[in-house]
Amino acid sequence: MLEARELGKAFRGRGGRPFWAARGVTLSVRPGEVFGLIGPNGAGKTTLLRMIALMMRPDEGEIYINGESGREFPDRLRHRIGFASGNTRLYGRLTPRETLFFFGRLYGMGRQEIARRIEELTGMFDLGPFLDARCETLSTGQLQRVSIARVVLHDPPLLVLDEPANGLDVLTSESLFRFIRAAGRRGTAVILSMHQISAIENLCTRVGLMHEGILIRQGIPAEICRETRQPDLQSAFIHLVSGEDVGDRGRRS
Amino acid sequence: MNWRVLQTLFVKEMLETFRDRRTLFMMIGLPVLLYPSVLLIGAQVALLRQERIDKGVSRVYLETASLLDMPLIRPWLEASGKISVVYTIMPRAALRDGEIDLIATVKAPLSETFFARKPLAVELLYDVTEQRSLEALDRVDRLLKDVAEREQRRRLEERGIDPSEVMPLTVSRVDLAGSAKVAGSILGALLPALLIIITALGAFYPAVDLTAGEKERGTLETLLSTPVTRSELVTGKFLAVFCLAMLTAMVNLVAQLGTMYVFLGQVSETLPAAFSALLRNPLPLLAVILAIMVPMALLLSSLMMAVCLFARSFREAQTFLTPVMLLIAAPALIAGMPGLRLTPFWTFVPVVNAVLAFKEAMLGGVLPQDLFLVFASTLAVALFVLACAAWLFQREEITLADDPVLPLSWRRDAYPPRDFLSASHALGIFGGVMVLIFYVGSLLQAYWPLPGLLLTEWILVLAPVLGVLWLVRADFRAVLGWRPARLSAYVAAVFLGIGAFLATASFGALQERFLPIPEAYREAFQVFFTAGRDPVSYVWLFLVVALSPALCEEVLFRGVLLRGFAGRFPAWAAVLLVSFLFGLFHLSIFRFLPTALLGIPLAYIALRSGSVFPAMLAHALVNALALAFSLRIMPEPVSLWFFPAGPEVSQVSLGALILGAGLLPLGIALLEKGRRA
Repeated sequence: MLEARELGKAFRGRGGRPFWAARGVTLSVRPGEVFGLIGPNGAGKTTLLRMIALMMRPDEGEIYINGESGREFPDRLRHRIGFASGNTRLYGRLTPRETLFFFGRLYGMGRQEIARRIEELTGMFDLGPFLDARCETLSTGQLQRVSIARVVLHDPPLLVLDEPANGLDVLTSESLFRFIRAAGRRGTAVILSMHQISAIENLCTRVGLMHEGILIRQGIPAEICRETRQPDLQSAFIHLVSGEDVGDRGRRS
Repeated sequence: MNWRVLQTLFVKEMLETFRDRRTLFMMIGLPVLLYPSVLLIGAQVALLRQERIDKGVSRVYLETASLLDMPLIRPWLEASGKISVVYTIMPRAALRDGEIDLIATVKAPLSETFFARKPLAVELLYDVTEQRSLEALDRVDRLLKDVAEREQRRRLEERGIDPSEVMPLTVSRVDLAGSAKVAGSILGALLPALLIIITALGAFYPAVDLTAGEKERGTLETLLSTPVTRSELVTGKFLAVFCLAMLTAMVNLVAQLGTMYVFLGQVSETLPAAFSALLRNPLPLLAVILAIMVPMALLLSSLMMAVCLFARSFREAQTFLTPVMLLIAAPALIAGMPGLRLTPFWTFVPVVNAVLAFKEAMLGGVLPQDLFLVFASTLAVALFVLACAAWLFQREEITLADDPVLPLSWRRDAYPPRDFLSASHALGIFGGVMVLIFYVGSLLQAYWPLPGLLLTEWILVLAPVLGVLWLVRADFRAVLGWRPARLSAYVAAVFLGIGAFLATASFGALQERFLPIPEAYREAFQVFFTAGRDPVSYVWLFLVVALSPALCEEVLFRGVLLRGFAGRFPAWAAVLLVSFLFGLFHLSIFRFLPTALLGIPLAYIALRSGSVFPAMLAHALVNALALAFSLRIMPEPVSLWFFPAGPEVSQVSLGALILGAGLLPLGIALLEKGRRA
């Protein structure tokens, strides 16, 4: 579904020297797979996910979505992608129904198709009670449900989620995780980044560890733990980054 | 470009805007409440003054060659009851101070002229800047002409000649168009500037809200993740901004005309009649308004959107738009210059052409051909700016960047030490300096030309810049390029300085052809050169005119602004932007292009050498050369070799052009070589 080869992105640094936010990243996500990215702040996760969502042009490397190169027609290829991040907020002055209608039109859907889909999603995410209230009046949890409905509105085969659980309480996060698992089971390819490494461990079929722009390790969580001889993913990550053996300490805290 | 997508984007923007009470109020409510009241008060004051002059009595000082004539001439003037003859010790001073309105001097005694049947000369001294004086002149002139005509008639009849035989022509004044003309002149002076400003205000808020506002609210990234292309996004937003600008402008226009129509009746009887005459056949006026306002709204919407794209927050966008608003208001002043008509050249200058076309229409009609050219050229510029905006939207560093916001505080310890100033902060400093120069500097220089210039440069330019940098704990070496450069950079600066001097001089000669400098403006500069011709005066002059501007202006332009812009934009764009601002800084339409042009090599030197000092050297050299030629300090043969027609004409000789053309690449090569080394 998703193939990234040697992806790199450089920004202009203070002194005019290029600063590589991500470099040499190669990964693939198959349908039904949930791929989790972990790494500290500034590791380049957001830059990588923006390139994968075809919102940012890579300076190096290639992206293929369903075998089609992201270099040629990135605008058209975004039809296949559902993207959400902490920065993809909703228009406060529109209602959820209007929001979904608006985005449906941008994804090239017909009016009746959108109306039908809104009905489906309303049932799926229980949007009914606030479907016609302005988004600025909704609670965080309600907004999150509308946001997810917005992401899957056009039924994309690839979901790119950058810190989707940021700012959510335990209950709302849990329902988000349930949705992601369900999407994976339905055959959607998902790539996401998250701070809560423990959640990633339970949620993802495969994970990638990013540090200073480089994907230092990827694989099945249990395998990474075994290879690094650490009890959990968090300790494995710290071990890989600092070379420190923190396994036991990590467990106790 | 997909029409359905455009429509969807447009509808969403409109829906959002109309649901926001704050936007609605700022766009429509505030102007509708505020501007009519400002207009109303202004118009009332003006009209009350006019009426006081009409009803008032003109105070005339009468001077006769013979004392005996006084009782004879005085009744001629006072017969109308609108003139009173007054006495004062120093009539000319009194006229200047506005204590009297006119001095009438009868040059010779009546007994030798009027009664001896010889022509009598009367001289009327007045002050053209005083409305009361002009009114007095008109009254006295008419009265004296009446006396002359009566006497002529009497003398002819005395000789038995029918006056109509020797007077082939009689002229009588009947003021038919009076009221319409008053309305026309008020409208003509007020409306063009008003139209442009309200259109700009109409575009201002939506432009900020739909770009920077969307970024600030965090919804832009949502939009960017959809399959919509960047051009569609820009076009959809642009259409919305344009429609909102037009809507606001229309609401404003109707409100303003309405206020004028309704309330002016209280202070004048003639104006409402004139307005209703205008409103009875409003089609020509409306056609002109639309032909001007539509392309203006197109241009202003795209320009403001392009500028706002650089902003990351609402507040930053408003800061960025302030100089743009100044830029738009300036043409209203230019068009106010008497005698400036819509020539082919001005037809292609955006904003100015619209104001001039409107003026032409008020003066008695603008040719449809000219109106079309104004429309077409403005449209062309608007589309170009729109293309730039779309191009900017493609750039990820502009749409997806996030920059930390500086705190705003007077306490120095609120700022962490920094080696970098952002473009918006640099622009903010520039704005502050411009305000100081505009309100304080121009005053200083008007009263006190040379010391005023020195004070302006050091206290209004250099001191605030360094003060702000000190306050925010900026590293001078990094944010100004305040560090030594290689020797080769200084040599290159000398070459480029001489080359740039010759280039700007030739450009000045070229500009003189399509934008001649008026004599009065030229004279204002002569004040510099009337100083003494001794060495001390020369040194003083070189210090004030050549050295100190180079030092102070380089710190602001090729220091703070250039380094700030270079961090945000590509190098070439930073150079052009700084040069544009450098042209604006000189606050003169005649000096704008030459100084902006000069800014390019200076910025190039500073950027390539990594230091502000070589740029200072080049700037000082350019100023010193200009001064040396104007003062004729250069030996005559040298001066003639450079400027065969004299330095005032600034027509550079072919030899000098070749010299300049040789020095420029030499300087560039030196800098480029030094950069690689």
